[in-house]
Amino acid sequence: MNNSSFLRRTSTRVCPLIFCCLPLWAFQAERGDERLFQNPIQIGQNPVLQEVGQTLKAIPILRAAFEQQKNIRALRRPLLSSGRFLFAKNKGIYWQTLEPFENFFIMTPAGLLQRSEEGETFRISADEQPVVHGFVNIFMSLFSGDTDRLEEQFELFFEGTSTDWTIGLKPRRRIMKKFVTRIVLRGNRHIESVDFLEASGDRTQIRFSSFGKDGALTEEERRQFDF
Amino acid sequence: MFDSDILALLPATEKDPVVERAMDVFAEKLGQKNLFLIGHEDAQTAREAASKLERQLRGSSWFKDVQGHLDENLERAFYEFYFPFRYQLLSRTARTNLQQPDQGGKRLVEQAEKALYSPMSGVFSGNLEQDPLLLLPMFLKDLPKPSGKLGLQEGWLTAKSGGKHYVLITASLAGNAFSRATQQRVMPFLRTLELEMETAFPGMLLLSTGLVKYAADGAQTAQKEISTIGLGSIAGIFVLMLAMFASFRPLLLGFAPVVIGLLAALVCCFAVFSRIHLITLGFGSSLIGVSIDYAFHYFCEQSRGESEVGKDTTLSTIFPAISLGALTSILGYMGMGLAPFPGLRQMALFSSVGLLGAFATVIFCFPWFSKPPTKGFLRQAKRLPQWYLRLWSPGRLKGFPLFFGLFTAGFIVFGLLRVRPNDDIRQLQTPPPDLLAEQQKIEAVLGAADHSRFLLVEGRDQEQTLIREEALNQVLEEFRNQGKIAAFFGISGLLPSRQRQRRNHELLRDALLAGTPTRLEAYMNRMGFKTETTAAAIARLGAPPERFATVASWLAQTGSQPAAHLWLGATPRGQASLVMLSGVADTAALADLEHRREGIHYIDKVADISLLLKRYRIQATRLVLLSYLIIFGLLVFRYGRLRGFLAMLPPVVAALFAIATFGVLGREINLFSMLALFLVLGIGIDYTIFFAEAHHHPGRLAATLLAILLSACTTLLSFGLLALSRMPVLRDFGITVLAGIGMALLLCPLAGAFSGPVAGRQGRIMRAALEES
Repeated sequence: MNNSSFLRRTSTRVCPLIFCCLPLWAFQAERGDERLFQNPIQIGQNPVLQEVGQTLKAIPILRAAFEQQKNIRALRRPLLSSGRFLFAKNKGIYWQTLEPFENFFIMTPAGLLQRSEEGETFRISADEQPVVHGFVNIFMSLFSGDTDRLEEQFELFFEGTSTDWTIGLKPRRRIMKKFVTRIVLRGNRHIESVDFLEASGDRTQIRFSSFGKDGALTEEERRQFDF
Repeated sequence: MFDSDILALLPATEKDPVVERAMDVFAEKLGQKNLFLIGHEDAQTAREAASKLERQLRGSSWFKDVQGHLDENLERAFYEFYFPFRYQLLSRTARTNLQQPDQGGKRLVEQAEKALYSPMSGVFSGNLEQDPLLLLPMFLKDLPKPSGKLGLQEGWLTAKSGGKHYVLITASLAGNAFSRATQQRVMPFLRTLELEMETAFPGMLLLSTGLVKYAADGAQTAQKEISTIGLGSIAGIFVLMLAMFASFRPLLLGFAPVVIGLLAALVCCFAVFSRIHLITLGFGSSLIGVSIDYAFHYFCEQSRGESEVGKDTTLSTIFPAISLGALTSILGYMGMGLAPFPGLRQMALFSSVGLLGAFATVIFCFPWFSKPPTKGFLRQAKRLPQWYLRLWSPGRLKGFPLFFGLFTAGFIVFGLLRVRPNDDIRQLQTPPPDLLAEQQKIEAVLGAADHSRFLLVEGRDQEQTLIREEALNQVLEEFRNQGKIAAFFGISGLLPSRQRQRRNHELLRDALLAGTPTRLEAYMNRMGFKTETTAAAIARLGAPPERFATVASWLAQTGSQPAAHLWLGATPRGQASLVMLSGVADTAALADLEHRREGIHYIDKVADISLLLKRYRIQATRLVLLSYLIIFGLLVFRYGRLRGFLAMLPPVVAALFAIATFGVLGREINLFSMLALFLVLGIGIDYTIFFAEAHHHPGRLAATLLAILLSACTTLLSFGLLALSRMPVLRDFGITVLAGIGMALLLCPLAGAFSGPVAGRQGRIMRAALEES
């Protein structure tokens, strides 16, 4: 059986579950966050965080399934989507939404590209929008465990152990603060969830599952990153 | 008071005065713009340096409208300007899609949905409630940009080139770029600023360009050359006078006509033109060597000692010769004014009045003030003319005339075969190499900007102008796809006409308010918008637009700065705007647009002026030929056919030699070389006439010859210095006159001689006459 059909079946089963679990999940996150953001730390003085960073760094290619929930203030209902996720350390991030519609979203240091079945929808080069540069950096640093890089851009907060951790990030620079108020990462051996609170009040929560670290990039995947 | 703009020398190129005026306005606006590129390997350092530069520029009183960091307020203001019209704005692609309401509407909705689902939606979901389909962010994203290479980074316009990050700051000069006062304050300020920046940020590269830099350099060069030519000529005269007359009285007196002539010329020019161009002064300083001529003739004649005390007959003796000489010279200078070039007319007036003043001084003042030099003077000074005559007599220097004749003939044939005309105006503008290098570096970073080709769009009012420009854009799109042009940019891409705004609204309405439930409603319900929001959006889209974006309001917000200069505003016929073109490959297609469409003018400044220069060059050539024929007629009339022909030979050969010189040197001729031939005729003919007249009065031969030689020396010196000028116009004049008059001088004894065996006898008669006196 191939990947996509497996995911399709998984996601249709998972979706209703998410609807049920959601309130609990979200509620839990809110409460924990307040405590987290009271303890700023510095990497140099926090060996546990360093260890976490090392664990993440050791993974050059990560494939996972994701479920995303966006709470946009102007909308009464959250936007739910799910699909596949691919992180390649030296290339970028490949985000393939499968539900509720098919869409590809590619993020590399050169910029962003959103592509749908009909063709290109839009593209923003990192040179044009500084914010894009920032976002890409964050994501890449997050997944590659580049804690030093993260510390440059964010104030760091930490809780937990090296096998069950929570990292909080608050942007240092004004330009990032305009878009993101804070980010919370949770994970054990991989990042399991990312939670963005945007300056506009919108909130994005992403959950990863079904991790696979197999092998190198396929030819097709490699091509996707070159644009 | 003093002008240094080379374009001020040139006449109007457009047959349409309204278009000409519009282009002048545009050139002015463009001329005021200054550009600064701050480069550094590290982008952050580049931005910090740019911040400092921006602060300094804002703090100085010499720059205004400094555009550097686009802070959030500016971005916000730009966004807020368009916001009320968001249902009236569509990018070209969106508009094309919406031509099919069903497909287009579907795509629009899908696009918005996907944007909202993507993790990056925070980037533009700011006003989602009021702009549920994200129409404004989509429109802004697709706005045309004047320079494809610039991107926005942290609020700064940045480009990357050769491993460095360059940040752009633009500023307008508060003052006239051609005003010497402005130049003398702004240039030091810029230099100090550059030094400061380099010290504070090592490794930083500051590139800047602006008309004021070129103008300052032009003015400085002109001033330097005026003093070089002027002082050089004066020094030459000084030395000659001292060597010849060995006393100070003639020296001081000799400068009087020069000074008075120049003063008269200045006053006259100011009175007629109210501004004098520095190039006129540059050319006028070569007048020094010519206006001294009459003084030489007076002194040399006076030194013969024939006048009794109390009754000076010097003037009456030389009057016929020098008045004829003055007349031909003045006519020669006035010939320059034939072409309706303001600059040339100024030069012609200046020179003519200068010569006239010098002449008048000699005839009115000299009899009162001049005293003859020592008796023995002439005997000593005779050696020069004697040596000179010997060149032409057979015997001593065997075969010199023959050898010389062959060499000259060969030179002329070779040169004339090789010479080519080049009327390109760009030849006449030689920026200094360092400014040119800087300009090229800037173009490497930003891409070359072609400021000489435009399409001018005219209309009765703003609306018609914008509509015409929009229609033009469609054609230009096609041209771009066909490779006829590389790119174009006009403001109608940033500011649609009312008609288009209405049409956009209609297209959106038809696509989104179709069906039951309407597509818009279905989308908003699906996404979960509040009911009030949905109702408001439907109402807004359903109602016809009430407010429209106008040019005035667009110009008022600073986001319009990069393109504001393209709106030319009011003209006597209505309103006008410009569309900039670059990479023009097919000029015929563009010129054709002018005929096929109303209100469109194709302007190619370089080609237009160059064509004008070519036309006048051809006309000048004809006039030169005509004037030579007329002079020939006069000479034949006075001296008979043979002698007339011989008298004409020196000026004609001189003219041919002058043109051939260009060919031999590998230089190209243009209008100015041809106009200089008038001078060659006007001044060169003097020597011929003097020689011919002297032949009638052998007693005066030595004195006349000496005077001719001295005059020629100073004239050649002056024009020789002119030929060294960095300014092509002056240099072309200088080379032509130098070569021409040099040759005329060498050949003028022919005027007094017959051909063949008679030459010997004539020469002997002359030499005998010389010994006698």
